[in-house]
Amino acid sequence: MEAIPQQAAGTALAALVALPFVASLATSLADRMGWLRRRPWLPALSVALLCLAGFSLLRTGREGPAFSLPWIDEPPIAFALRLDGLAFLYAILVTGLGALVVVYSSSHLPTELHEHRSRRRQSTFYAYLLFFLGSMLGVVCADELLTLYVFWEATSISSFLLIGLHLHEARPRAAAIQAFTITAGAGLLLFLAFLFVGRLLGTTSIPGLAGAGEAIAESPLAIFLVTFTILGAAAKSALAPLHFWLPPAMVAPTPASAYLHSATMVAAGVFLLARLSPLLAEVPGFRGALVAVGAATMMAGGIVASVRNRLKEILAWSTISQYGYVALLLGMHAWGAALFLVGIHALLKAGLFLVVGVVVHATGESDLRRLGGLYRRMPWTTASACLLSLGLAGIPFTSGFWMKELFYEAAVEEGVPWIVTVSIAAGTLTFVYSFRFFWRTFVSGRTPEPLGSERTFPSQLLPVLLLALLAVVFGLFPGWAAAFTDPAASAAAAAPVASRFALHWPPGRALLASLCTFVLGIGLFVWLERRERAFHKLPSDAFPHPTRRAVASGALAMRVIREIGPRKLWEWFLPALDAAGRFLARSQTGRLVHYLLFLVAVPALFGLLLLPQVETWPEMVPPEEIDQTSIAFGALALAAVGLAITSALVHSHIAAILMVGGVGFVLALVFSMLRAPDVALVQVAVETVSALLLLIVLSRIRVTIREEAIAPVRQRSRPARIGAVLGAGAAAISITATLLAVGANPGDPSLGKSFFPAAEALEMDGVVTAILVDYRGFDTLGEATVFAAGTLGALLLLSGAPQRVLLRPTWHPATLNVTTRLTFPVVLVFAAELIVNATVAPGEGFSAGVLTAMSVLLLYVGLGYGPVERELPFFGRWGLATGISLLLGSAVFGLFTERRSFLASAGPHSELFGETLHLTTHALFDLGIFFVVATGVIAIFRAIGRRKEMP
Amino acid sequence: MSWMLAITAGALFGVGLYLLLLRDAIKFVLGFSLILGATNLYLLGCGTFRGERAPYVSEAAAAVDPIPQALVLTAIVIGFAVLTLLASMVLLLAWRTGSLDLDRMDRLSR
Repeated sequence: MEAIPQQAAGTALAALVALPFVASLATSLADRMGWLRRRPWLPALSVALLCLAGFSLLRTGREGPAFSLPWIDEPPIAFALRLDGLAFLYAILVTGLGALVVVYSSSHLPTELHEHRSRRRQSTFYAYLLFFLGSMLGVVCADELLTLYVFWEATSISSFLLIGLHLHEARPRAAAIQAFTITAGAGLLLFLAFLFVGRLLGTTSIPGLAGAGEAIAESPLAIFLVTFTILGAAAKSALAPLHFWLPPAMVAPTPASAYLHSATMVAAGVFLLARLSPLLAEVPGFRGALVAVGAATMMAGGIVASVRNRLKEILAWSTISQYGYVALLLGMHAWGAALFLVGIHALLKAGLFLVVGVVVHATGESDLRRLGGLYRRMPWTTASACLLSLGLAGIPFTSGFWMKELFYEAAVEEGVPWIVTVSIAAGTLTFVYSFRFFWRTFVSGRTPEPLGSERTFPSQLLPVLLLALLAVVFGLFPGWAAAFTDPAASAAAAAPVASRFALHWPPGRALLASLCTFVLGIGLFVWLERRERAFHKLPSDAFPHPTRRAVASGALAMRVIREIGPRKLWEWFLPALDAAGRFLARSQTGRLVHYLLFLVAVPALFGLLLLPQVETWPEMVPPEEIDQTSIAFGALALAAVGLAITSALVHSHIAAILMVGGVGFVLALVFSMLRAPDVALVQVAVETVSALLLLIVLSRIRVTIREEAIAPVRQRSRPARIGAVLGAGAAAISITATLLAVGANPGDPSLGKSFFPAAEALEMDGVVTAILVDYRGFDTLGEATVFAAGTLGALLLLSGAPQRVLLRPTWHPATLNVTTRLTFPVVLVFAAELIVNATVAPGEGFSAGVLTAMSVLLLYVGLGYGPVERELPFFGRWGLATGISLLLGSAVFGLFTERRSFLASAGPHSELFGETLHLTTHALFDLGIFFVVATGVIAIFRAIGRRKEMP
Repeated sequence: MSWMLAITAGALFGVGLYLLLLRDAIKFVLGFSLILGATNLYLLGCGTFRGERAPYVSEAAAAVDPIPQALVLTAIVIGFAVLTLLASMVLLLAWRTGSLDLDRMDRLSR
């Protein structure tokens, strides 16, 4: 086959990672449209197979295709993917098992949803599964730490969604929250670790980490780096002490347990350790910590798995134990063995979970104690289960045998006696729970009664058989599996790794260890069975479960772990959080005034704290130099402050509104004195409309309510008023002082200056307008959107109010009637002139909108509500929609211009009557603003005016 | 002039805050409006350079900083949208609770 060009292969890689996400959305949407009634699993299956084929094709050469999309230049951060050996192994596992799991789910899922009386759609499950598939592919293919992190958290999210699939039940919800809190919480630590790496090395690219081990080891932060990385990985791979979320997570639908929580997602933790080990291997304590965590996890998992009785729980604890093996192997730098174990375990455990699914489906029973003798009724399932569980136990001729063999070899080579001892002990336990699982379910005991009511679907059996077959094939030809795992190990070790599969005579030490395991395992199993049977003959239920007691001869240790172990901590954690919440709630008075005081006064105080750092203050102008401008300015300032203070003191609402409106007009004058004519114009328009709005609002509130509010009797107590005055005074001083400081220490003027030539380039005179419609056009777009949203919000609020439409004619003076009818077209013409003007000097859309709205308001005032409603058509929502579409349209148009930028100006400039007309997108933009503002304001006034006050 | 500007902005802000802290919902809206005005004044006072002319290309040599003006224009419009929303809320509260007393509205559920 011809080699695919590198660049094309990189793009294909990115496409393969993106495909599941797209398919996830598409599945959801297609199901809503009713296209996937019959086969909701179809997109998931085809995507998994497509990705499997795609990755197999892409895997050429040792380097593998890479894709990179730079995001930030300094520090260099990119979205980067690469398909190296390690990524390839995981990608094949994820897509291959994904396809099998989907096949299995196609018949399992309807039953599962039915049994749980769930209203979730099947497509939801597949959409989540695809989301997971994509995130997992992203994790394994990531070639950059932050890319990895994003996908990493995405897998946590998908796991959360799948565990909590039956969200109407309490247990799945609790398990989902627990799993998510732990994995995503530890993920945050991982993020910190990645940031450290980026800070230390100046790069977060994974190839850039090679050879940086020394630099990391010397850094004082290394200890945090190691701790955070191990915790992040441990949470994901359910290593002690963060393992406890996994067993409860088994409430997820069985295919999800098989897929995420045994084979793929939990393998991501050890994946991360393998990925980062070139970086961390040099740090003292890293390998030791991994060995310790691994050994503890595999022992604890093994012990608990041997005494549990629920099928899925046994498998969950066994999974915990198996990833303990992997962590131990990684700590010993036995790369080949570690990744061989990851690959084979994924096959075996996924298969076993599916077997459990088949058994539960057929018998409705999930407890070992009530199962048995299934081999009579389910020969195919039994055969597969036999191969799979014996494989896990490490019986020769199965792939699990080689898994154990490599494991023991690594342990023996390490040459540490306690590691060998613990390894054999863990192997023995693995043998015991694997064999017990198979024996008790399929061989010994009676067949449970309800068997035969449910038939096993071929689509359930097919994946199981296939996985069992693979387990045997890889057992007979371990080299075939190593063809996948050795390149992965080489990629992780950054050195060629070749696993050896050979049996010698006389047997090597590894084989001796295996034999030792079998003898011990059979002995322990028989002993346990006997004990259990002996207890079964006793009639009383008073005894605790016998096997549990038997194995936990170190019962005290178990007890201690249960009492103060991590799970207990979790159980304490939630109530503690609750208590803290209650404590904080006490500080919440529920009084608006308290919140406001804190919200405003605290920042004001911060402003005061900054003052000692101010070096220069503006100079006071000596009295003889005071000119007319200053006197005028002073008069305006006095007027504004005086009006404001009076508005606070007067009792009449109407007077207060008019006074605050007056402050607004004075401010408009101040703005114009500060050489801001555009601002002044808009201020006048807004202030007028605001005052009108408030007056109309007031007219819709009953007089008694208003009087009650302004009655002096109902004012606050004296301390409260003093507090308010003090807070307001502090804020006033802070604002004054900071503004003085800013004025005396102006910043760099170059940015402001740079807009003058820029506006000239756009052939615009008004620099402010140029900034608004072009350079900060995106903000203006956002502003218009906020305006529309605010308007819609107000409309929604008012639409919920009790309505009584006022359409009866009210008396209005004839002169007012005539005057308004005459003024209306005049104001409209003026507004239209502003719009046309926009082709000459854009930026008047807002003023035109407000003017139009005011002309309509005048009509309401002059003619009364009813006549206007009858005579004037109004298209509220359509107006807003037209406005926003015009804005977006003119904005997007800029992308196709020479500047290739969103919102850039485009269009011809032409001469008309001696004036240059800019028929540009800016004029359209202005028209959009006009529509939004005019319709928004009119709609609000209509909504307020239409309703009478509450009776 | 900078002293007067600063004191005016500070005073308007202070009075606005005082109005927010009263119990009267209408005065609350007015206080909000005053604070908006004070903030806009403040922003205009933050220009990095002063001048005798409005910022037009034709008078570039003596013009003031255009950036605060652009910011303030946006702020005024958004402030108006917020004021609208606030006024509707007050109206609704008056209808629903029969009161304009903010101290009575201490429960979100009501």
